[in-house]
Amino acid sequence: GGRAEPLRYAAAIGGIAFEDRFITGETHKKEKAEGKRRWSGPPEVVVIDKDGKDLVTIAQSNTCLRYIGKLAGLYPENKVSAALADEILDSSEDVFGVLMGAMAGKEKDEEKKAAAEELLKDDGKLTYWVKKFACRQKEAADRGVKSGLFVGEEITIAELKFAATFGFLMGRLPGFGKDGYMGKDENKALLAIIEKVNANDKVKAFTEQFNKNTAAFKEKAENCSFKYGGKTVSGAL
Amino acid sequence: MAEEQKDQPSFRITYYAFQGRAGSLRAAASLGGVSYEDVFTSGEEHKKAKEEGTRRWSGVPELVVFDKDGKELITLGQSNACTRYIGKVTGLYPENAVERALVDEILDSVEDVLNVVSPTFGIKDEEKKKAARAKLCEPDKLPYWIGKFEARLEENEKRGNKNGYFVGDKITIADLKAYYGFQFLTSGNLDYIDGAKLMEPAKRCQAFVAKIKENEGMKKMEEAFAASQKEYKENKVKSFKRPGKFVCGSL
Repeated sequence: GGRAEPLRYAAAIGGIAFEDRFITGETHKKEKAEGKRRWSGPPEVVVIDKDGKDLVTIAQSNTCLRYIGKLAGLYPENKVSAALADEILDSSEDVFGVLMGAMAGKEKDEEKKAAAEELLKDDGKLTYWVKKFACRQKEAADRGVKSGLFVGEEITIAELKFAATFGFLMGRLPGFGKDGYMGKDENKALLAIIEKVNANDKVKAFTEQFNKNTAAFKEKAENCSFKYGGKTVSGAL
Repeated sequence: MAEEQKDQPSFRITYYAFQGRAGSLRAAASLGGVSYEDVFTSGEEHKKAKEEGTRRWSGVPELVVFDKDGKELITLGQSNACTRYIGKVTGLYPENAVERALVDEILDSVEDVLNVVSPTFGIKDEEKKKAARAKLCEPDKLPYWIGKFEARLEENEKRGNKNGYFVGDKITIADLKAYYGFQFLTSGNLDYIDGAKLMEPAKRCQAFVAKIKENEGMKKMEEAFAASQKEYKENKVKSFKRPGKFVCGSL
């Protein structure tokens, strides 16, 4: 899950061959202190050239998502549509920021619950953002988009990012899940987007294998590299 | 019809009367020679719009894109989404997918730097603010980030691109975003942060900033912008039409 989920889903939907490499929080911390991180954190994507050699490492989750999405045909060609997708990517990161900001330093369950309640008040920060995403979905519908999605008739990187971000929040933030805030009538359309992503055949097939892989990694840290088949799409500079 | 087209802005940028997060939008449009309307808003106006629910997302800048008939097509928000759109219509966003990713990294990382500093703006207690800003100057915070930008410039140079830009050999929206990011750190408006000291070890970044400052198009744009700031301050003029070619949007 987390920030790499939309990247993995995009590659899976696009049928692109890739290697999925797991690291732990401790490994990341150590590598970062050694100056090995491209920017600040994972995910990182090593782009392979036509000879199978490492071309360049890129990071920043939305940058990686846009790159893979473009290869997978999930980033719109139309410049305005692409901007609509980009907005969802950036706003999803802003929502992560709202959550991290509210939860910073909160260790006890009661503290977390109180922080969550604060975020979800009528005039709460998270309430504000969820309403904006709901507006974006409604505007698309008002433009004649029938899919219920944010941009056009097909899933784009926008829906993948949104589903991963909100899925993460629904699993972690007390009171935000399907049986709480996201289960409200006014959030039906947004919930439907998440469910549409999760119901995608390629996402389902990927997730089944991914869960096996994470179990193997949990068992033995040496099981950290997993290859997914598909078409090879190399990069060039 | 041709006359109307000449005056027609391709889009309207709404932001405060300083460059900040709109710098890269305005600069991209200007360097790209496209017509646009530059509209200044204020802190109070923004607060009111936000409370009334009329803000696209959370803040400014916002970009209203016009269609081929000069009608409002859509309003976009999120400074990087807007910058990328303008980059695409002006040729300041590369065609190559990997180069695009290198540009996108810079856009995202500048935002990360801005977001590292912005929580300190709301600190009312001066002693606490001073302490918080001192923390930002520790090796694993702002110096860490500046080191990364320095490394990106070095990597581009090692790829054979000798013009001192972040990606490739021509100016891109990455350069414009980074330039205003560095301006933010070194403008002297951040109390308790010595921007010059932070940038001291980053020789390539310093050369980069000097290079962008000397760019003819940038000089022209900043001159016109300064004149607009004066008009806004003295005569409360809020809207400024920048000439250029009309590039419409469509969905």
